[in-house]
Amino acid sequence: MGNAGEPMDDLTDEQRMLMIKFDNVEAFDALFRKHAPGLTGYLWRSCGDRDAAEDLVQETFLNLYRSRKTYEPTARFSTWLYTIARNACANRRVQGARERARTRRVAEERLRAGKDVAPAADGPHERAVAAEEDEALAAGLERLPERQREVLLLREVAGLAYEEIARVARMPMGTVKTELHRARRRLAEALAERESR
Amino acid sequence: MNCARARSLFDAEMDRELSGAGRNRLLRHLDGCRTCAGEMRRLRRAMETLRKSSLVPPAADACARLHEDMRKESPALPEVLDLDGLADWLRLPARELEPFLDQIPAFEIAGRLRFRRSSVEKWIEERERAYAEGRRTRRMRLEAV
Repeated sequence: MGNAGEPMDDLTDEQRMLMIKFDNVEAFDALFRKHAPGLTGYLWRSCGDRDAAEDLVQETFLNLYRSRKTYEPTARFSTWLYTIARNACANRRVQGARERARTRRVAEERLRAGKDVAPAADGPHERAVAAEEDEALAAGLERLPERQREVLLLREVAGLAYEEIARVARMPMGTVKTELHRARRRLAEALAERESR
Repeated sequence: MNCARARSLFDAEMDRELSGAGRNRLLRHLDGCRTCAGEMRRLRRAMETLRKSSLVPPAADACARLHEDMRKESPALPEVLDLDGLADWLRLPARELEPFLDQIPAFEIAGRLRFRRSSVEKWIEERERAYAEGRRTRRMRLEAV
């Protein structure tokens, strides 16, 4: 599978996806490397569990591979990818309140153990700072209404345009703008509040 | 520009949608208004923290694990074959295929020859029909003798 040596950098996501339709594995890997960091971040901050988010990313890309033959470049690739991811995340959510409570406990334990902190944290001091920052961030995101959290993560972590967010989150464009405006301010207030303590 | 107008532009500024004179007016207001500048700074820092601490590079073995899952999902042949792949599929050495290259449906990309399996399958069906027709004709000739 795949044609070695063909340049991948100049291609659009939609062109790469058409190559994946013909089983080009290099195009698949290029899309994975480009989108996995943002997608993992979006899912991690949405469900609160980094391990579950990484599993969901694998599941999302496997779903993408399964449906490659039916892909038509009518919508932007990122809209398609995040819609698949969002559905996978929603399916997991259906597993019930007990599972969510367990996930939260695991996330809190991991946070205390310093496992779910910013990826760039290297030394012990940086890890401690990152863990504290992360705790504040998780608490700030937890306090946001779900719609605001979703719009914020799709914009700031996934980097989607307003129009793409409206499609993925199934909201009118005006609502996306209003919810993003509120979410940014609420999160900034929550982080500033934590800092001033 | 007053504070209310300046604050209504904060989202556009963070989304890098402002430019030219509109952006210059906002920046001038921020230079002169500590309250608005403080709010803008808090917003920028919060979004930077969110982005910085949320982007997660994939694990080193993530691609390999996906390939493994893909192989389990799709043991079938790829849709597009190169000459060696086509030869393997037809159970022939590649050099024995070469005399047929002007007949087998193919396309050229980046200076290389590729074969779409579904097109080759149609070509095989035509050859099967031609072969069956030839066999029928041969049998009729034999019966007539």
